[in-house]
Amino acid sequence: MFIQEVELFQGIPSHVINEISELVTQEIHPAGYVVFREGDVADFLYTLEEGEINLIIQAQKDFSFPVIKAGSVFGWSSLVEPNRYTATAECVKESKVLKIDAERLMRVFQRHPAESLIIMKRLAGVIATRLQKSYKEFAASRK
Amino acid sequence: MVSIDSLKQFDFFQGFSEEQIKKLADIAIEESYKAGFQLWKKGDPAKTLYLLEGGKVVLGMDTYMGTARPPMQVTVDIVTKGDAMGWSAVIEPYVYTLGARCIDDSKAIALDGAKLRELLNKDIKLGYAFLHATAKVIATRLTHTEIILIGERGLSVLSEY
Repeated sequence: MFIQEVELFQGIPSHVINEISELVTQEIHPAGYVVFREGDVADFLYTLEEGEINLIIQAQKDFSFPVIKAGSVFGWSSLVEPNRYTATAECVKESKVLKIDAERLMRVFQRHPAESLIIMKRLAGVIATRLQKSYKEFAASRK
Repeated sequence: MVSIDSLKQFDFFQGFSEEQIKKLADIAIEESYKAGFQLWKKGDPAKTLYLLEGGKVVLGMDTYMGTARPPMQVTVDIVTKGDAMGWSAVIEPYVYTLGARCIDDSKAIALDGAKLRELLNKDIKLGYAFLHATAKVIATRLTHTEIILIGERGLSVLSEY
């Protein structure tokens, strides 16, 4: 997968993408593998390349958010204080992920404020989407 | 326009420079509302972002239990002094995701969404800092909502015994 295909980085100019590319490692994990646990220090931002990840809240498998679309990001807590993961990420099937060093990514943001503004808007949108899903769950739980 | 000091008291602006806060203070106004006042409804265009200086505001939604019954208002979160609310004013599609109603007499600093978005697009460093702070607000709201949801599920499991 190209970095430009990651939902946060679409349309970002190549000189910034090149810097981000240097922070990325690719990992392949089997089904059942836990990428990170809720409450862990959040050091890395992840993108799904292939497979499926489940984001599980407070160890309750019936309260989870699937990540199935290639290019979707998870582990956004690495970019937002207090930098602790808010869910446990578990591979539903064998999955290929891109792992991005968050601290160094924040340094790239400081060097390129215009692009960083676009990325931060999108990141806030990603969190807002999960919040909206929680509200839907909330409404459903009241019916 | 409000004073720089009145904005500095909010954690939201932690790490912002004096100059950045000044630009925001220039477009901010102070408002007071009586208990019971509806600031906005779910689905309204998000025209304002607020920083609560005093009082209490509930964020909630209407749930429908069938056509024959009136909708039930359910509280999702409570906003108190020092909190920011109305983040939808800076995040597309700029539509409020919950309703907001004062349950005490309340005082807030209001930032007009259109002016704010214009300022954040013009001053990109300020824009980045503001969006970063907004992401934190959304993440906090998410954590609160999930705690309530999990708590309720826990209670419903317990009540089955």
